[in-house]
Amino acid sequence: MDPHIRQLLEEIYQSQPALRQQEPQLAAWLEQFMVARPTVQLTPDFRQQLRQKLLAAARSTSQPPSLSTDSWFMPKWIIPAAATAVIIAVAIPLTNLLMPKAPPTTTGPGVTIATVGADAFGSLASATKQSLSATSPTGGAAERRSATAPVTADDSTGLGTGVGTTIVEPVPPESVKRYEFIYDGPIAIPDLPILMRQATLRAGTVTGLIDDVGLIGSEPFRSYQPQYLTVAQSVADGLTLSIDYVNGSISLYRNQTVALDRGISVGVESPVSLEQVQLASLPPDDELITVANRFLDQYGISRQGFGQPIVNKDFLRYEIMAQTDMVYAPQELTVVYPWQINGQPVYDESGNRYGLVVNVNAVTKTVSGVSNLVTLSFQASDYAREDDSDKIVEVAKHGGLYSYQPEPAEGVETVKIQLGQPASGYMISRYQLDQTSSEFLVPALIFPITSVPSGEQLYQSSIIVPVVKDLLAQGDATIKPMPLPAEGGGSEPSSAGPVNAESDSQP
Amino acid sequence: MDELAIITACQCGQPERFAALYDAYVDRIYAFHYYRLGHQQTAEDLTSTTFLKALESITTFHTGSFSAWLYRIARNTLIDFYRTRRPTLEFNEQFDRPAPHHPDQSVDATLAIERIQRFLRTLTDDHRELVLMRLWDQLPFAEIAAITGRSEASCKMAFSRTMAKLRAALGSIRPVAAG
Repeated sequence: MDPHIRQLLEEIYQSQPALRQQEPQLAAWLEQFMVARPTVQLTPDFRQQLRQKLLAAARSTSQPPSLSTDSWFMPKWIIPAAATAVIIAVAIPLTNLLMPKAPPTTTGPGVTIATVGADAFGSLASATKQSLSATSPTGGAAERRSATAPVTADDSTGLGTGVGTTIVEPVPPESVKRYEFIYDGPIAIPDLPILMRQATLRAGTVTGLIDDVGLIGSEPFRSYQPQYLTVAQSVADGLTLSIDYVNGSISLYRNQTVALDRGISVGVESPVSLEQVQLASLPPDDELITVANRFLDQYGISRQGFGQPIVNKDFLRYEIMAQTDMVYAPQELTVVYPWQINGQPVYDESGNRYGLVVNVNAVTKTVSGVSNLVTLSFQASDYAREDDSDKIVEVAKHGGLYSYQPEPAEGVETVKIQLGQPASGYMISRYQLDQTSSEFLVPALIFPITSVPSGEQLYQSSIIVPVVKDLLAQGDATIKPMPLPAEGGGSEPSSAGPVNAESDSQP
Repeated sequence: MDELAIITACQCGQPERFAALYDAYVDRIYAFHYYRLGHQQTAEDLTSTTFLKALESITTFHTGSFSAWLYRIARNTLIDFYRTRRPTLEFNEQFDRPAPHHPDQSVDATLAIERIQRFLRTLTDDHRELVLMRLWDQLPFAEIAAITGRSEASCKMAFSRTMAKLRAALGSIRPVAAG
């Protein structure tokens, strides 16, 4: 008897032992099943063509994104039509994809990478660490922070923690948990350069604008350059465009007043509350992405150079973790077009995908804002890679380089969280070097959180660890908890806690 | 082939290593689609889509069986196809076609195959999928469980019951040599 049939029979007998008495008949039917199996013959041509297609697609993912890349990496809403689309996609760009590409400093439309010497940016470990949106008036919407970390010292700006106020470490031990992120599998450490974003936008002269004002002569200002520019439509549903020439970013928002009016009574058939909406009434992701795509196309914003857009559903993690009976969703949902730079996905320091942000109103199904539209020009410099896997795993164990975890102590409960196999990518951080603030893409490993024990309110989905020796050599860079003002005031600063890498930027 | 090493390399900037995974699985994935569609061109299209999706998503593979992960993509691709391209057809329409007849196949064998096809049509989609995965795709129950999201024990139980039902429904048969 065929060993496969024998095995099948034994499996069947485990649940239906009585059938053993009918083995000849059962075996005959199983054999018939195998005879009835259609004969399959994959044609050599198809096998070879698909192999070439995959290799071409693989090359375009390891190379900078290009126009043809999107033929392969379609948004999910296109995939159901892929049977036809794939054929078309093969016919059009295959020749182009298989052409050897020159060693490029250009990685695709709008994305350029120029290689400079090794260690060209200086030591990031000794630079002043800044919040990602610290110097950008148009930033902020793009920044996300770790939901697992408590409010930190970095957030204390403007909260009355200046001189003359005693600061004490909060953290009542009986209520504190510390997470240990465990990984014991293999690691492939990426060998990538550090990238520094070249932020400055091209700007023309402003003499025409000054002349139009008519109150001052424009000639003395001929060589002046604009630093910020804001223009707005003065119509219903109008947009406001802000250009930050210094930091190389653009944002586009719907006029807030009009949007509020519209939400209440204008532009939709029934009045719409601007409060949270029911989860069930949210449009599907594909629809939100379609709205965002259409808007970007309408305003000439290139979608090239980004990965597949993602609808941010972080709010769901909070609601589900909180085990609320009623799950609400925000009316404004965020579609992120994640950066794919130098063939690598880019993440923020909390392990979230980072990129162009488009806010879509889930009720009116219109775009309410675009932010983090920035120049994608980089300088690349090689830095010594951290090759010590144990060290990387140890940093991951504490939640990453800039994560806060309380020290083990009596009353501090330790919860172990399992991490999955890490993938390579870039972590975006902002550092101030020589009085100049810049964004850096630092090679990193991203460890996915594979399981969270029941009842734990852990809102992070991954742990990110930079793999640059310089950064990991700086020792404990974890962030201490935000100090709280003590009753009665005072003037003694906190002396406890580790060195805070971000504290240098505090006023 | 060290699948884990290849996957790790793919995830760490060497996606061209995916070709080795393709070589190892393309016949099985094509067969998976062909068994359920019975149409060469469509099976090829869905095989293409399956592998392109897998390459695109390789960074999301973390733990478990790569085979199960890939079959899950194939299964979702097939379901998408039926939902979006062929809404009027039922899943596994293949079994509504006449049984293939091979010149060297006896009349008894042909009749037996037709009875099997009729029997398959009587099954629920879930049970039919289970039977095909175990018998034709020859996937172990652990993988079937991972692909379908059911427990392994549940898959085993449902399969055995379906086989008992087959034995009861189809009765006796003269043993026929496979092939």
